Amino acid sequence: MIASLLGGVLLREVPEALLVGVKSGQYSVYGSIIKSVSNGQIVGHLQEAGGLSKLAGMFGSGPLGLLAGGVQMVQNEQIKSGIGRIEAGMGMLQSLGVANLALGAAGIGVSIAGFAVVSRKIDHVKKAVETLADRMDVLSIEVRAVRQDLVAADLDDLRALAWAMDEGWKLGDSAAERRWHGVATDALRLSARFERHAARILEAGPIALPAADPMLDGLSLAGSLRVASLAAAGEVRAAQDAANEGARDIDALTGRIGHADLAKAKLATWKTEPGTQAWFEALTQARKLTIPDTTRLREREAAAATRAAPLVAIEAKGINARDWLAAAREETVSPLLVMMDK
Amino acid sequence: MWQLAAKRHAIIAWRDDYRLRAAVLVNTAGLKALAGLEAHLATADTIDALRAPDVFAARYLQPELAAFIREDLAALLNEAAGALVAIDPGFSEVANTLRGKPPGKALVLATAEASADGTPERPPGNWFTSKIPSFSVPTLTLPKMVRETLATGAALAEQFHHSAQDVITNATTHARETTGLHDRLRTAARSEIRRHWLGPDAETDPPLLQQLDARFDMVADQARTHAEGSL
Repeated sequence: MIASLLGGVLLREVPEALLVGVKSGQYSVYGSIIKSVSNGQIVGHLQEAGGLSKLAGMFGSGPLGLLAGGVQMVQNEQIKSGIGRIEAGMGMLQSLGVANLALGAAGIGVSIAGFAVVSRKIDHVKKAVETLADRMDVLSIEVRAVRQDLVAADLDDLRALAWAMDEGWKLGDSAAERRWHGVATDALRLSARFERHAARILEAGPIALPAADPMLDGLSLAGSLRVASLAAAGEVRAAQDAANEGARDIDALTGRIGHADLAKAKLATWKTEPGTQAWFEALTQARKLTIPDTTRLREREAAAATRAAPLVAIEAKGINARDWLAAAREETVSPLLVMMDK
Repeated sequence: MWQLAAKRHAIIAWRDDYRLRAAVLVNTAGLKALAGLEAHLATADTIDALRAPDVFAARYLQPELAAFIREDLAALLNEAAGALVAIDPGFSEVANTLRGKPPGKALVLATAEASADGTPERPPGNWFTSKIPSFSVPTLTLPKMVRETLATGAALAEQFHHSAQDVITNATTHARETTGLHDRLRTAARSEIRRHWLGPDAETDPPLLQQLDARFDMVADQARTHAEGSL
């Protein structure tokens, strides 16, 4: 299936004109929104689709390094199996600059990713938590105070919730609604736990961001599961509120951490003499090294801040949220669909 | 919600850009000041320099810092204010706080050294005046031959005077280098720059760069709050 017509609104593959517009700088992508650079108006809403699971399946170790190695891996896969559509899907994600976002914890739009995809994302977060345990001796007191076994247990709970969410699609209407309400409640509880873990670690300052990152990913995953379950249950207003609340939580944790904080925190660990050429060079190097972390911060915040946007739009157009999500799930080829704003 | 987030992202990108540019600017000013110090080392008052290298460093560097704040830093803060207003004209009031006199004890201390007409108080020439010994030829009334002979001698003496001065200067410089005096002064200057310009190991007042960071953070926070209120 390429597109679904819902209430007169087309949820379809991202048109070439949009990709060209993004490439030329006419449009920019912010979270799940494509907007006009000239007037800031929304042009379309990106929404992850069922085809994402094919791409996610190729990157079992997680999205990190995807941009560096992804194309080659996709090309190899194409040669092996002749799946040109995978390359097209990957190419689209890269053209829009959302490959890491789509395959990472934050996701794009309202999460419709099946259990397998969410489970892989959780695996990736869990690995990051385990590497924290390996580096316990060099971590701050704040980081060590967060018990790794509790975080791991929370991630297992999150995996179970993703399973429960997915299973809901196979249930009858009323049973599904009950299931999704339950998922939303449990996801809220988990969100609070990940938020607490992240806040505790970030008390150590920006230098602790890499240690807090898995907790922030956990918060992002739990938050997106909560929004998706409420939307699927037909609670569109509650889903919007949940999305906004999640965005505020993430902003409160990381919104004031910027590239300068991360670069200077990195620089401080090198103990280079200020007022020297070496200090200037070290600062330049620290700036370069902290770009990916800064990008991840802003992408995660943008994904959270734009999660409610399509819900507002579909509510205004009188579209049933569950039908909308079901249509996105049924798209098995393209990893992303778009709903044009007008 | 997303409009607020996008605006806040623009604000923090602005803050990061100017905080990092300020860091480069202050470091470059420190490097320049240290390079400028070299020209003064040869004529430094040995006694003063030996007794209190920290005072020597402070006396040289504080006017340099004051000039830097008044010129390069003021230009950066002005530019930063303009860039913030470009994100949202509603930030103009917040941005204007960057254009005023820089707050903070160290900044005030440094700017207070500027004289009333706006020029920084620099030492008159080299405040560590030359102590190289000189000598003069006495004026005497003597027979012509003797006078001529002496005139030739005086010319020679004057030549000798200059040569001797060069020799003494070079010898003094060499002696100071070999006795480590210059290194002590350089170390004192670097320490002064570390403590009062760039940090981060300030023992008392926050160094200039830390004050600038705090200032950009404060303005960015105010802009964040303003953005929330205006959407």
